Amino acid sequence: MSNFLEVKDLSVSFPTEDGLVKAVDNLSFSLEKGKTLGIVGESGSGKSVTSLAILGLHKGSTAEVTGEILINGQDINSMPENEVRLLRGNLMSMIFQDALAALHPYYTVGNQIAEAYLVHNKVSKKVAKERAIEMLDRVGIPEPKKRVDDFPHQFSGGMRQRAMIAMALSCNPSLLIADEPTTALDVTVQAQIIDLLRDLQKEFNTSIILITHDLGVVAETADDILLMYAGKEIEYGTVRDVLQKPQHPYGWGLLTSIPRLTGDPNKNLLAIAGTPPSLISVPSGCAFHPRCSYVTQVGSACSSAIPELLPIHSGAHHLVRCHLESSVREDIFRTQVEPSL
Amino acid sequence: MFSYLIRRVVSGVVVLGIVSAIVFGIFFILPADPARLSCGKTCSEELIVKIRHTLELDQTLPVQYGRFIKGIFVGRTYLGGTEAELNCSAPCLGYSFQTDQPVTALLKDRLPATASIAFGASILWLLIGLSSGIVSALRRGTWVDKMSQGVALGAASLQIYFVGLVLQFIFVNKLAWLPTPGYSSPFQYPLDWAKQMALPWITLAFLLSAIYSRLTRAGMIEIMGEDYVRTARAKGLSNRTINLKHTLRGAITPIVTVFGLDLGGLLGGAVITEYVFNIPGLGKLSTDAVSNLDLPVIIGTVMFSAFFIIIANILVDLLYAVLDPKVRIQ
Repeated sequence: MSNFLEVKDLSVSFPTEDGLVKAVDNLSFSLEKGKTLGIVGESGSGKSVTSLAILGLHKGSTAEVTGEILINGQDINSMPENEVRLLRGNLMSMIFQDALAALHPYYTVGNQIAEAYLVHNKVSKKVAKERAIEMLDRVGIPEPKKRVDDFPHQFSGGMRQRAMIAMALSCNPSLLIADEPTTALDVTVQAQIIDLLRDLQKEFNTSIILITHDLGVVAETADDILLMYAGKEIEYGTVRDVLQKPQHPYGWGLLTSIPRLTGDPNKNLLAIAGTPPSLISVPSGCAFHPRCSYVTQVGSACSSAIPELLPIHSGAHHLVRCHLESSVREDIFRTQVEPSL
Repeated sequence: MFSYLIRRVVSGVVVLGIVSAIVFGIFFILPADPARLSCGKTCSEELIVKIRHTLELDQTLPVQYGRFIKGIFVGRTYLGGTEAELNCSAPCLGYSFQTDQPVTALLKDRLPATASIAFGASILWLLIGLSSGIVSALRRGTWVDKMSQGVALGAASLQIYFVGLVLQFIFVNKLAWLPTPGYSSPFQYPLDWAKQMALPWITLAFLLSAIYSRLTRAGMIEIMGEDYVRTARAKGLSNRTINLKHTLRGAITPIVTVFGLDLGGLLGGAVITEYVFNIPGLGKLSTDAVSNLDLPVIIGTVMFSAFFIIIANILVDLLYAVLDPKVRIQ
C-alpha cells in the first residue's frame, strides 16, 4: 500500500536577530491511510513546527520551508497558498493543544464549526448549522441542539476539546494532526478524548499525526513513533519496536524516567541530566551529546560529527541516529536499560 | 441585565450630583461677586442688593444649592409672590448673567452645532483610522505601514488650531472651495451645513484618526498572534475572512470603548475646534462663559458635558455586553 503522506527532507528555519534558527532539520517520515504516527519530543524539538508545515501554515510568514510534503502525491510545500487553503480543513485539518485559546471567544461553538464546513462545501447556513449539531453529537456533546449556540467559555475543558475535534472533522479530512490534544485536560478526560479519536479514526479511516510528549498516549494509540530532538528525528520505528527496544540514549532516558507503580518507591527516577538545547546554539555533532551518558564509549565523534539516521540492522524499519555501535547499544540496553523498564 | 442598567443609571445620577456640588461650590467660593457681575455697567449699591435678592444670593450656600437642584427637577420661581415673579420651568439651570436668557435654552440652542461636529467628524475618523490601522497591521513592516504610521504620528502631534487655520487659509481664503466655517441647520440647508462643517470635521478627524489608526494597528497585531486566528487559518478560511471577521472582531472592543468616551467628551463641546472656526456650539458657549465669568452658564455647560460623558460610559458598558458574550452571560 502506497503511503498517503510522505514527508521528505523537510527543513523549517526562521530568520531571527541571532541568526537562522533551524527548527526542523531534514525530517523524513511517512504515514499510511488510517494509521497513526506519534511524534514525541520535548518543547522546542520541532514537533509543532512540523505539523504547521504539513498544513502549509508557514506560508506568508518569514519561515523558510524546504523539502517535500506529499499528500496523495501532491506537494503541499511547492503549492501556492490559495490552493493549499482549499485543502486546509478539508483534506487535512488540525486540533490544537489549548482549546480555550484556539476557539474564538466571541463566536458560538456552532458558528465556528459551521464556518469550517461552509468554507469547503456549497451549502446553506442552515445545512451547515445542522452539520455542526450532527458533529457535536458525534463527538459526544450532550444536548447538541442546545449547546450549539453556546460560547466556548460555557463549555468545560473536555467539551471544548471535543468541539475542536468536531470542527476539525466536519469536512471528513483524510489527515488529522492533533497537537498535544490532551495536555490541558484532566487524566480521565484525556482517556475519553483519546478513545474518541480512536473511534473516529476507525469510522472515517483518517490518518492521524499525534504530537505529544506523553509516551503513555502514544503507546496506546500510535502505530509508528518518531522521536525528535533539537529539530532532528533521532529514532523512528513502530511503537512496538521503539517503546520495547529503544535504541537511542534519549529514548532510554525517556522510558526510564517514567515512574512505575510496580517500582521501588525509594529508588530515584532516572531523569535525563541537563536541559534541552536552545535552537540558536545547537551543540555540535550529535545535539544530544552534552546530556548523553555514553559519550565515553564512542569518543570524539559525538561532539564533532552528526550521526546519520540508519536502520538498526540492515533491512530493519527501526531507524536510529546514534554513533554507538549496534553491538554496544544492544549490550547497554540489555544490561542497564531493560532492568529498569 | 436590567438591574445592572438601573444600577448604572443611579450611579450616573449620583456622579452628576457630585459634579454639580463641586462646580457650584467652587464658583460661589470665587472672590467674584455674581451680583456685581450680573449688574452691568450702570450699577449702584441699591441695585446690587436688589439683584442679590432676585438671584437669591442672600441665602446660605446650602439653600442656594438646594434650590438649584430643585430647579433642575421641578423648576423654580424667582421673586415668588411679587409682581416681578419669574417662573423657570424644569429643568431650570438659572439665567445667564450676560444675556439674561435661560441657561437651558442656551444649551439647547448650541447643542446642534456641537453634535454636527461630533458625529460628522467621528464617522470620518473611524473610517480613516480603522482602515489605515488595518492596512498597517496587515502590511506590517512594509513601506505602506511605515508611511501610514509616520503620517499618523505627525498628525497626532499637530494641534487643531494649527491644522485648522492652515486648512482654512488654503481652502477658504486661497482656493475659495469652501465657505467660512459656521453652522446652518442640516434640515433646512443640508448642503450649506455640509460645506460649512467640512473643515471642522476634517481638522478634528485628522488628529483623531491618527490615534485610532495606531490603536487599531496595535490591536490587530496583538490578535493576529492569538491561537484562534491560527485556528481560523487552519480551517482554510480566506485571508479576508480571517482578517476582517476573526482578527478585527477580537481587536474591536478597546476601540469601541475609546470611541464611546471620545464621542461623549466631544458632545459636551468640541472646545478648540469650535473656538478656531468660530462655530456657535457648546464649546464656544463655555469658553465665552468662562471669559465673562457667566457663572450659571459655566455650571450649565460643565454639567451638560458631565452628563454626556456619563451617558457615554453607560452606553460603552452596555455595548461591552453586546461585544463580549462573557459579560453578557454574567
